[in-house]
Amino acid sequence: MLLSRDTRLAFGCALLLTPIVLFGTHISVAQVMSGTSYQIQSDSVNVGGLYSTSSSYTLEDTTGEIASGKSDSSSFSLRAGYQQMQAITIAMTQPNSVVLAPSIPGLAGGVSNGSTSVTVTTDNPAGYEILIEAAGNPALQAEGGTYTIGDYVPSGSADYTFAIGSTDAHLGYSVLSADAESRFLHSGSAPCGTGSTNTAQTCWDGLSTTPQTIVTGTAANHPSGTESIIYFRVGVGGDVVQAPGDYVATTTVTALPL
Amino acid sequence: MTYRGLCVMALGVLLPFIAYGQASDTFPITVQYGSDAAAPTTPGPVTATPVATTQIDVSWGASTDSFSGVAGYQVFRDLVQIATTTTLFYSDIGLTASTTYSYTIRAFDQSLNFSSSSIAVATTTLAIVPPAAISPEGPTYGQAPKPSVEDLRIEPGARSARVTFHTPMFSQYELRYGTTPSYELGSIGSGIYRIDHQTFVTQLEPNTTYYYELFLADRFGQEAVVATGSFVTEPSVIISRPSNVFDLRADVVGNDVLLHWQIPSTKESTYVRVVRNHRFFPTDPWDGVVVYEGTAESFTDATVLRDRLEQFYTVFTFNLDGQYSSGAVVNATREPRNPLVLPPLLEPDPVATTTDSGSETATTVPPKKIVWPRFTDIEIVQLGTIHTAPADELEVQTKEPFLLRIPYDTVPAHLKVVMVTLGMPNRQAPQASYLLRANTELTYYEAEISSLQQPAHYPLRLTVYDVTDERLVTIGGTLVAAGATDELVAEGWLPWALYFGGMFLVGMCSGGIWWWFIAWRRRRQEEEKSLTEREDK
Repeated sequence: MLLSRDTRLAFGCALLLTPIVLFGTHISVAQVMSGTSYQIQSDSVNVGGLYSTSSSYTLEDTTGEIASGKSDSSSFSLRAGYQQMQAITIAMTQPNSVVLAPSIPGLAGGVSNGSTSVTVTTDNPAGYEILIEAAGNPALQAEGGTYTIGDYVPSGSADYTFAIGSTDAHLGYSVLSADAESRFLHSGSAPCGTGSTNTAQTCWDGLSTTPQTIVTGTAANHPSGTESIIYFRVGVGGDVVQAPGDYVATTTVTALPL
Repeated sequence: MTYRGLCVMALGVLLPFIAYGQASDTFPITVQYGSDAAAPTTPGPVTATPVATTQIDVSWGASTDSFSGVAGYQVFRDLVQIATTTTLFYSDIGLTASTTYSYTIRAFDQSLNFSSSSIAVATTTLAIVPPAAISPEGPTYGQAPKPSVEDLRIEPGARSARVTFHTPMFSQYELRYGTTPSYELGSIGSGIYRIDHQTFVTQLEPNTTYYYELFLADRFGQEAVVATGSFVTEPSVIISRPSNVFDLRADVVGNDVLLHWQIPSTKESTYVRVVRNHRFFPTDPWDGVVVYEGTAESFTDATVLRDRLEQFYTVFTFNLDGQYSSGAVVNATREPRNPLVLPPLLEPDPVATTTDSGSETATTVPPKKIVWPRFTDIEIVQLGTIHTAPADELEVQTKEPFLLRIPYDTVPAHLKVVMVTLGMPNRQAPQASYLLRANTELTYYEAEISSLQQPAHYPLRLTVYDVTDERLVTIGGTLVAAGATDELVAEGWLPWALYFGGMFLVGMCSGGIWWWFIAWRRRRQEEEKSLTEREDK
């Protein structure tokens, strides 16, 4: 039996299942077919259906779908059937561990810097947000919390420059992102919290065990995503007597759809 | 409806949103503080040279430290520590003649890790020369010549003079000076035997003739006056005061204080004077003990914290005209200072109160209101331009020294010290503090600050202390060091702009010449044509 070109194309595009596999814990974007210039989020096998439009509506319908429904296991999640893919997806790259450099000498004190970055991709039309939180209070701790270095406390929402007095010892962070929160924005000079300029290692805040929103995107950004760099700085003044050792802050960043 | 039912309903409403999911990850932030377990390399080789009957010069090769850098060296004589220094040279004086001494050196880093001791080097001081061996006719002790001086130079300024000279043999010197040939003003001397010598004669008067006499004593006990003469100081001129030193730092090693600083490379700065006071920062070059004067950029104040918990230092930069900077300050303590609690910016407004006790009415006269300086009172004078702060930011140019000042009448006259502190990102010293000194006209408190080397935002604090050294008020803001030209050069914009600008000008000139040539040629052809037509007619 000879089939028309359209029919063959319909059969060729149709699949029995619509596998939507969530890879790992970080990437929740999936597709059944993709190339360098296209991406098919879902397809279906059916025996009928129309794509109808008029001046006042657009209608996509389908009938006779088979093997549709939702299936989950420990390694995959399956959404089979027409428009089962309309769930919002969000993905975040894994942040690297941060080792601040240089090491801070005990006699004179000093400043140590480091950074990590995450790229968040979402198809949520409402956008996304990134939150950061520390496991400990204060964040930087040594020998199980016996010795600590305090969290940076800005004078306002964030300090334009990282202030360190001779008796200060603290950990701060700042954010560089196209979607950075307003407290990391400025007008080219102090104070932070006003303006629309976002520059690296400017507008410093301190970590907390309460999640703090550091990035807010108000639209979908797939497939390229948006990179956000988080800068960390520890400053220890020359008059501070601090126990020597490796101080570690266990930190969590979370990307959420809005 | 029950409470449980309400919860179930709320959960039912929330579930669709929770099902959106999230992406989350945990990572560590690690910083290493003071846990530098690696010691510096052993200094060496060590050489010990007997210079005189009472002096041995010790020198050694530098150590290295990969973590925080070498902070200094300890010098041991016969296993007893005799000095801590940041240099690679030490003159051990006050020794006994014909006596053998052994020296070892060890280095330490910023985390107080000590290197292993160097190999001990021993030497014997020179023997005392019997008086009979010194003949008036000439050298008799090991062919030693009489003391002499070479290349004696005197550079007078308005209020001081720099004296440099060389002696062929290790010698001590004494420079006597005065306004008459009797040298009534006193003398300057050094108890260390050296070959190259430098000193400064200070507190001179402008446009005045001074007489001097240079007396030398060599290591064999021979003494002689090797030079006499006079010099005239420069007329007094009003010039700017020299800039303060920068990167001033004080490291405490046991009871010793190691001071480091950098002298600005401007020609008006000639030498520094380090003054110490255990009460508070010395406010002028005579407000305490002068522990160092010279052109070096480090000094060890030995055992100074043995009896005192804290010491305060001010480093003044001098020029040859005797003018000195406002002073860069640093303190050294064996224990961390307690954080100071700042008083409010403004004292409460005094309000007149009236007490009615029976038939008598007493009125309390309110104290005078004190208005503290504000950040907008601060001015920056740089390259002849005065910059003021519209809000809490001040702008300066990088790589140019500047004067920071506040109007004299913004600080109550009875207060003692006004100090400015700059946070120094990416510098060895995390911050730098300077005193502000009233100018001669009593119109401003001023501090001369060396150039800032990189464009950055420098936190700035201005603090006022009272006569009891209590901090009364601190105002803060930011010093923005801009370097537009330098940044353009660094980013490659300026060379490209100059290149294209130059090419544009060359093109314009070439086009103009070409246009003129074409016009001239056309006009010439028309003239020739009209001439030909006339000839034909």
